[in-house]
Amino acid sequence: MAATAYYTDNYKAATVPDSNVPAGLLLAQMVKYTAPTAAYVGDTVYLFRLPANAVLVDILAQFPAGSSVTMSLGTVTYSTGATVSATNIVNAAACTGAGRFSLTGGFQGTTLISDALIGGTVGPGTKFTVDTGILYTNAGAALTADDNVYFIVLYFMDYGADMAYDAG
Amino acid sequence: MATAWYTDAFKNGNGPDGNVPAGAVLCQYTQYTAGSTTGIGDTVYLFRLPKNAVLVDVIVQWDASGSSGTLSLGTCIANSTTGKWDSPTVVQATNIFNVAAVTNSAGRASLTGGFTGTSLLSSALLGTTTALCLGNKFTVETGLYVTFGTAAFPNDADLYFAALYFVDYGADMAYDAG
Repeated sequence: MAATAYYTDNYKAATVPDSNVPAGLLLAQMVKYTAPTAAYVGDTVYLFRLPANAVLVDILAQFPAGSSVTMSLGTVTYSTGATVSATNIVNAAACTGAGRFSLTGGFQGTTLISDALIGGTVGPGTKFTVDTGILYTNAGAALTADDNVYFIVLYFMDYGADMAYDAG
Repeated sequence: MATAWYTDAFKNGNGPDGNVPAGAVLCQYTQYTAGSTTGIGDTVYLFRLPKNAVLVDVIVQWDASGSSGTLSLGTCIANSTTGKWDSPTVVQATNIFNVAAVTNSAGRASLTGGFTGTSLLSSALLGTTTALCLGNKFTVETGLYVTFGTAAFPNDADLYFAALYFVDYGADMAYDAG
């Protein structure tokens, strides 16, 4: 079976997520993905859509036990659907035992998940200059039918020109 | 003898505000200082989350405990007979944290990991018996409470709890293929 793309309601909704909110107010989106069949290598789930000027704070995930599972999180340019990178948030984190992770650490079974959570260029504090999607991909024989995976993304809006710092 | 303790946030006559913007992350915080050495089965009722609250995280910090200390976190609802919160009805005592070992060392935990001393806390943070998932949505106003196993914490030991959540008024958070 070919790899399949799945889209959450959050992602497909015609209305963009509200970006006219007070700067700095912490916002959350949550989604539950239930594998309709055994997930295959390269199956993709488009999870969230974040508005331009969103600043990523954290992503939390919960997953069931599976065999030889790795999970990756990446980003998509929403307007074109082009994948920026499939692993620029989380890069092939081993998730063989049931567990959870956030961008600052996690566990699967009784084992630590650590540096796989530093995927690439996107992490806490990344500001998206355009509407951006977040996608999840499986590798290995990942999930069995009806397995549930849960995701929460935390972000806030920043309308300023930058978040730079100055010395002195 | 097991004793039940209630935070002001839990016993307050006013329910937590459930009329807030959807998706805005809210926090409740409380500190519990052991009034005496905690005993097996001692319970501290911490928070009440409004109907439609979606659980984002629970963050906990504790002082060094006595030997063989464990900590569980569960949920309850208003008393099923009286509707009051002074003797809540247990939903499940371990559906958030299931007997996390906090033995003899200070530490911290959230839903996605933690430590006691230099040891990893992991699968105990998944809960058990109808465990709550990350992002669980409460369909009724729900309380969070902690229970201690064995001789957990000495007199004056401090524990700190923060619950993060948002309110979701939508019908579902489902997905579609294709």
